[in-house]
Amino acid sequence: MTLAERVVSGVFEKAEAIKRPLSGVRIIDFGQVILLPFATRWLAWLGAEVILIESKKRAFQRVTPPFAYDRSGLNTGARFNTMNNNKLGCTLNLKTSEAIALVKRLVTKSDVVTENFSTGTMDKLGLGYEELSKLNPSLIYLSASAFGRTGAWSDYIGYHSSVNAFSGFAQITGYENGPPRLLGAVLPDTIGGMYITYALLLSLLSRQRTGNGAFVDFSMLEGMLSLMPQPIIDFTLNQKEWGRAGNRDAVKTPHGIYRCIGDDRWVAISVGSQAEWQRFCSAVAHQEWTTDSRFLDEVNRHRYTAVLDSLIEGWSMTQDAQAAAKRLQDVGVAAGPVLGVRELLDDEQLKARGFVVEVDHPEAGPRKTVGLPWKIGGVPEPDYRRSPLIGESNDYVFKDLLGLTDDEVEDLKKKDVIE
Amino acid sequence: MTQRDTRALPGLCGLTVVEISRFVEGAYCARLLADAGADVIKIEPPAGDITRQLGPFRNGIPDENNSGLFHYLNRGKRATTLNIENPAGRTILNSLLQKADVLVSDFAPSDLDRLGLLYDQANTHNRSLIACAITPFGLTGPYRDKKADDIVILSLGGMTAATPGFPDYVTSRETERPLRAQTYAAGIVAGAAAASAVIVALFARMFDGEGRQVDVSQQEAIASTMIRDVASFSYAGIVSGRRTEEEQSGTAYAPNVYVPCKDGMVVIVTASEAAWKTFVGLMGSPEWCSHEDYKDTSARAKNINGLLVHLVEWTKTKTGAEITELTQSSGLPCAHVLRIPELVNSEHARQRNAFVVATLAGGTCQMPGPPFRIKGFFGETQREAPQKGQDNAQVYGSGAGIPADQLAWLRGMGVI
Repeated sequence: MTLAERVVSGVFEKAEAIKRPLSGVRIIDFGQVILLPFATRWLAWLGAEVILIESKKRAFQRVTPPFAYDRSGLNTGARFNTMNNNKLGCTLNLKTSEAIALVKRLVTKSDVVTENFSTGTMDKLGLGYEELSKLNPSLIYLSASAFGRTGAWSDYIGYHSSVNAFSGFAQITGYENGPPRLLGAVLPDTIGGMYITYALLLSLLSRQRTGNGAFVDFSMLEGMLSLMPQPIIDFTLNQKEWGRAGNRDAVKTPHGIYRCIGDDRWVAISVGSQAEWQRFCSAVAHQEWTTDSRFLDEVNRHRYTAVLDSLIEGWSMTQDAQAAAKRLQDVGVAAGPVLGVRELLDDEQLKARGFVVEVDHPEAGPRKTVGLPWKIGGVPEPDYRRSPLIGESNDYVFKDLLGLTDDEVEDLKKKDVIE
Repeated sequence: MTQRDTRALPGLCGLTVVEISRFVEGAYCARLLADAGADVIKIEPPAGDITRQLGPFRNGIPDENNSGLFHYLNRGKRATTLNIENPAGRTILNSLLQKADVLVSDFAPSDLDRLGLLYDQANTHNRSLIACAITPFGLTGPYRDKKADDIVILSLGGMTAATPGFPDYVTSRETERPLRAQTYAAGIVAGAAAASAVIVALFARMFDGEGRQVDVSQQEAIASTMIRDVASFSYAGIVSGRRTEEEQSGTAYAPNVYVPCKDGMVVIVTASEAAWKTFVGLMGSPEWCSHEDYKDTSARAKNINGLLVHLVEWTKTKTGAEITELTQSSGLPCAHVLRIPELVNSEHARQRNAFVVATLAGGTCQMPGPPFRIKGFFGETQREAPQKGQDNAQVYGSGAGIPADQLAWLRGMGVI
């Protein structure tokens, strides 16, 4: 039954369907690290039932530090708990044929399978797309990896740092005259998580209309390339290689991040037009810059960027970052304080929008995290809930969904199939 | 999946999207919708989209129909020009909105309001219209009307403070200031998030037939990418990004470092004791590795500076490509920094069909292809980006039902 049919037939209340547009979608998730868990967490917030298949003995994700209260354990890891909100979790030993058979039975009752193991792992387990789509022809199967499932590097493994390096993104990032630098923000994983979310939403919507399943191949490398059209086009069109340029912009000047009063306090400033330049100069009380021949127009300011930047920093170093940004905003110049993660979670805009949320957890306590980056009129905010404890949903998955008896489950535990 | 599947299955085929955007975020969101088969009608002001002024251009010579950035953001769309601030132009827009499923826009909130591009205003023409607004800080909250561009949004979203980021490190936060990448990350990331939000609204519309306002904040989209740092801070008070090697050692299995090699920079990752042993073997099991200071991950983290001296002695004797080949063939996720030419000319990029070919002012170039590939429904569109106003006659004529003589008049008046 399609989602719309479920609503029409009264399986779901309309209000419930709107609050959780993916109600009734079941995802079997083999997600590791950040890339895929990031995406399936968003889908869980949108109402999908996401069932993590985990190993208790090789629960690498759960034991990645740091831990709540400095107490290492399977249920206290910052990384796992933050990446797996609202999911269910069951524990299976995928090295046993019984476990594989259980997964296959689960797949016949599910809509989506997602995985980001190294290339070939799912095929070796007998859980590749070809195999599973025979059991469930309308299955949507998403395979995510660092470099893709085909091509010369398909066997390479990589985290965000490797993808920053291989994509050329590091090559164009850095201070002038310095080496290539690595971006913060685990962007290969997180922009990847957003593309995976979009690909799965599209596949689900498309299936509503056709009944057909889909196979999605996502690579973090290609996700990063999507951010850098200009240097790629400039090289292939003009054989021009981009260097590193700090915080400079090709056109706008001033454009940068300037030191303020205090330890590691900075303000970002971007002046986009001649009118803004005039207003900027009066706001920082340096009218004389407007008549300085070196700063007359964008072309000249660009040529004398280094001089101008040090003059601006002469001003900003006497200013509080928030106050400096406010003064510039008041005259319509784009500016903002540079926020570290501490200030980010305390930012008045993010808090006012309800983007910073707190999720309670029986072993890790209440912890702040961030929610969906959008609001949709008439669609209530998701219920932000905690990640599953290890094996917490075993009874639901094995008994309620697959119909195993208590004895059968006990037997499978003894045989080390259910861990 | 190098063979792209273009069987005419739905995806977003049959859906009409009207895009009125100012910069990267709106255009990229609509590009992703076009990639999935939606019919995207891009409406530019008569003077043309701002990104037409940004390159790269062939030989650096500006040309509004041959901007590399514009082509990348707009392939697969139909292009029209319209002065929506003129009453006649507005009438044409209203008739397009009547038939549209989605409106994508990225003007400042006050401009969206003034131009009637928010759902509350636009829905008078079409109740089931989904109006997606991508703005720096969202349509609500104290920063709503603040001015921002890429570097400001990245800074207020936490990304510049954290760059350079782990496993890269800084010698001093005073001399190595917060850093932006040379991309429009705030536009691309928010555009990608917005594409998902539009599909969520399409799902909701399927249930009740109602259109909605989709409100995407670029600051929140960027802050979403900080999730690892948020986790470490919420759980342990750890601030990551722009830390010294000493400050950040111990936050991951050691060593996980970014170091110079013979011809550039390499990332060396050992994520378990077994991985470290493998790596020691690859270095030829030098004597220093058996020293007490490096016996386990916590000892190595504690003595990271000493370890780096030894490690770099070895990495400096090898090229990045040699180190990558050596480590990857033993299952270690190490990598070296590639230059753009090395990436573009790589066998892998060719085999993956990672780039699409386009022609700009008679010159051939490559640009990034769709960020994912789907087999099973609508594939990739190969249409090139539109010339300014190329589809005016078709969209306004057969689409909006405006007679040819009236179109000519509107053109004369500068409305289209």
